[in-house]
Formats: sequence, structure tokens, C-alpha cells
Amino acid sequence: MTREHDIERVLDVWFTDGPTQMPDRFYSDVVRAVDRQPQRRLARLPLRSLDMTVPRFAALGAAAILILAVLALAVGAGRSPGPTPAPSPSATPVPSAASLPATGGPITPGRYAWAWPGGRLTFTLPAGWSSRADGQISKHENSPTEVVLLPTLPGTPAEVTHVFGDSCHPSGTLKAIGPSVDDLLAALDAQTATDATVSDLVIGGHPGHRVDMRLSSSVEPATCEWSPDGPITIWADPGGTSFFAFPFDHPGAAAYVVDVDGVRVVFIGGAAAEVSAADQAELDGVIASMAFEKTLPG
Amino acid sequence: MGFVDRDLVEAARRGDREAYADLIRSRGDRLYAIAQRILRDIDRTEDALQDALVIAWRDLPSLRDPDRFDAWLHRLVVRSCIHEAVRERRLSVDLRVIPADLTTDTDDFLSVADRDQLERGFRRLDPTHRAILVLRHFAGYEPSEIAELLGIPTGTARSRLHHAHRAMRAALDADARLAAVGG
Repeated sequence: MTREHDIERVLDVWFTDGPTQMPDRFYSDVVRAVDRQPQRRLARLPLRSLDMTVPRFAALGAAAILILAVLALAVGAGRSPGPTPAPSPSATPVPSAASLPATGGPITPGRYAWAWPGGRLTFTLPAGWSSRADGQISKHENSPTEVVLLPTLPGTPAEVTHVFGDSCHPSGTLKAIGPSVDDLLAALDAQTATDATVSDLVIGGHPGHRVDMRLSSSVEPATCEWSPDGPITIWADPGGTSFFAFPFDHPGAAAYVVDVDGVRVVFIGGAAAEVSAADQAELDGVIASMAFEKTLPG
Repeated sequence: MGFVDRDLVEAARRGDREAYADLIRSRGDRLYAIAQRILRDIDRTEDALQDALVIAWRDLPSLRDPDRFDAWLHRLVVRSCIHEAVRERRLSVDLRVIPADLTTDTDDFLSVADRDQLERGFRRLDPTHRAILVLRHFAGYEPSEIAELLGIPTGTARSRLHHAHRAMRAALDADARLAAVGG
């Protein structure tokens, strides 16, 4: 071979050597491996698409961030004041609640429950909501107007036991947390690259907190591990099967942390950027309808 | 992506394993060929590709736009190959492998000796440069598409491609000089 060879032409030809078909044996191996691998359950909350070219985004970056912040504030201003104190479950019986469909799908309006060993969290769903097999309930799923609630209940695989120390560069930062409400709040507050805003509230007659999580404005998303779109990762189980995460450009999602007679009960709630005031009110209404029931373990 | 594939991706995102198997089946040949050309070794190819395909299944619910499935999957596969190639270099820097199908191509544009030189020169490249050459010259991606796949700026992709071309040319020239000296 001589140096005058056009290296590009040489490579074009050389790369035609080699196999061009995936062996059936290998395909079968992959399918078997996939069968053994559960999917990660991401609390993904899609939002208005920012389909801008990089230069245009760079030019409008500050404005885009400002618009998102203003929208978030505007939605917040239109919200109901949040779940209101509800009577104790023992004082005011609630209608009997059904289990969500095991396979997910559209839900008829009514009273439903998420269950965990020793308890149930019941709530009332209006028309237009649907569920998934993992217990997520939502309206307008995977759209910029989505509202969503996702259970991460005690004693279930999705229970919050580990929180990332850094949501922007999460690899290697997953740390175990203690079992109390304060343990989780402290871990979320200490998390690098996210801003956690804690509001006190009462859900189903029990004291709780709403922790709004969003990417810190001081963080450049392009530098994050999962760039360019994210997600930022808040928590996960050590087996990597259950995550709380959302895209960089999401206005933020909230963890609801409730102390139910000493047991930490957590669920996730959020609304995408273009949620309507009516759907936001429905989401708040579902949370306000929540009640807790004790059940016999097992 | 066609309508049917979009449905398959949506179904797989919701946990339908059969839909995911169909997606793999329809894309497997191309992904396998790309991985093999980066790694130059069947066992490592299959390790890297299986890792990538299992990770893709695991993380599929995080894919926001089903239309980006192919780009996302290629990105996972290429990253897995780069990771495997880095590991390979740590384990055995001097291992030399002659492709099994070296003599199967009757195209006389490249001789057996040419292919041997190319093999050795390619294996000396940094794994990212190897991936860029395969994406450009085998998969036919433009530098801007390579940039998106690798998560790097387009200018960086262009400069790395240029560097990889230069390194391959230098490697071939060096081999040619050694051959001349050695007679």
C-alpha cells in the first residue's frame, strides 16, 4: 500500500469485510437476557418540547429559563392552596376503594387504592385518568399537559431507600438513607445540583411535606452525566429498577412525604409545563381526597 | 421511523418484551456489523452488543421521543463498544487478530497485506476514533450525526475524524517503512 492511497476510499472498502448478519444464537441469548431484566420505572414527566437549534437556544437561553420559571409560577399561582387537612380516617369513613387495574389502562371514575404491607392509600379519581401496571395514575400521559401521581410506598420495590448525592452526576453517589421522614428530607435538601423546596401540609389527616425538586439554576445541564436531555435523578433503589427522575427542562416534580403513625409514606406528583388550570386542580383534588387505612400485614 | 416501529417502541416502553424483541430483530444485523467493525472480535462484539441491548430495554421508559429510538440505540451500542474496547486495551495491548474472513473478499483493491496493515493500524487507534471511523465509513453517518450519537459537538466530531484518518495513514506508512527495512 502506498501513501497516495486515498485513506477514505481504503476505509470504505476495508469496512465491507466482516459479518453483516446477527447470528440467531446471539439473538436468542439477548432475548433471554432481556427476559431476566426488569425495566427501570422512571417517573418521566414530559413537557413542552424545546426544539431549538443549539445556537438559537444559546441566544434565548436566559429568556427560555425565565419563561419556564414564569410559567411555573403562573401555574403555581393558579393552584388551589393544596391538600387541606382531612378528618382522621377513623372519624370519617371514606367510600370503599377498588384496586387499580393490574395491567393498567383507562380508569372509570371512583375511589381507588394503592396498597403496601400494612396499609392502603385511597383516593378519588375523576373521569379521564388512566393507570399503569406500576401504579402510576395520570391524565394526558406522555403529553405536555400531563398530570401524574406515582406511588413509592413502604415495603414495596419502589420504596425510597437510597438518594443520589448528586442529581447531575449521579453515578457512584447513591447513598442509603434512614427510615424517617426527616431522613428523606435531609437527603433531598443535601442533594447537589437540585433545589428542594419544602412545604408543610396535611394529607389524609397526617402531617406531611411537599418537596418540590428541580434542577438548580446554577447547574449547566450540558455538563451533566445524562446530557443533553437528562434526566436528573433524585433517587433510585440500589438494584436500579426504580427511579425518580425527570428531564432537565421539566418545571419540576414533587415528592410528597407523609408521616402515617411513624411510617414514612411517599409518592410523587407532578404536572408538565403546559398543564391546564383545570387539570392542575384535578391533581390537587386527587391529593386532597387521599386517606390512609391500616390493613393486616401480608 | 415508520408508523409500525413507533407503535413497537411505544409498546416496548410500556414493558412489552415481544415488541422489544421485534425491534432488536429488525435492527440487529446493522448493530452487530457496526459493533464487530469497532471491536474486531466476535466475542467482544457480542458482549458489548448484548450489554447495550439489555441496557436499552432497562432504560427504554426514559426515552422521551420514540422517533429518536434508533439514534438512542446506536448511541448506547457505540458507547458500549467504546467501553469494551477500552477494557480490551487494558487487558491486552499487543493482541493481534487477523480477521477470520480476511480472504473471503475477492475485491483486489486491497491485498491481504493491505488488510493486515489496516487491521494493525486500526487496533492501535483510540477506541473513540475507531468508532468514529466505523460510523463514517461503514454506517455512512455525517459528522453532525456522529456528533449527536457520541454526544459531542460537530466540530469535535470533524476534528476527531480528521485525526483518525491521519492516524490510520500514519500507521500504514509506518508499517510500510518497517516492511521496507525488514525486506
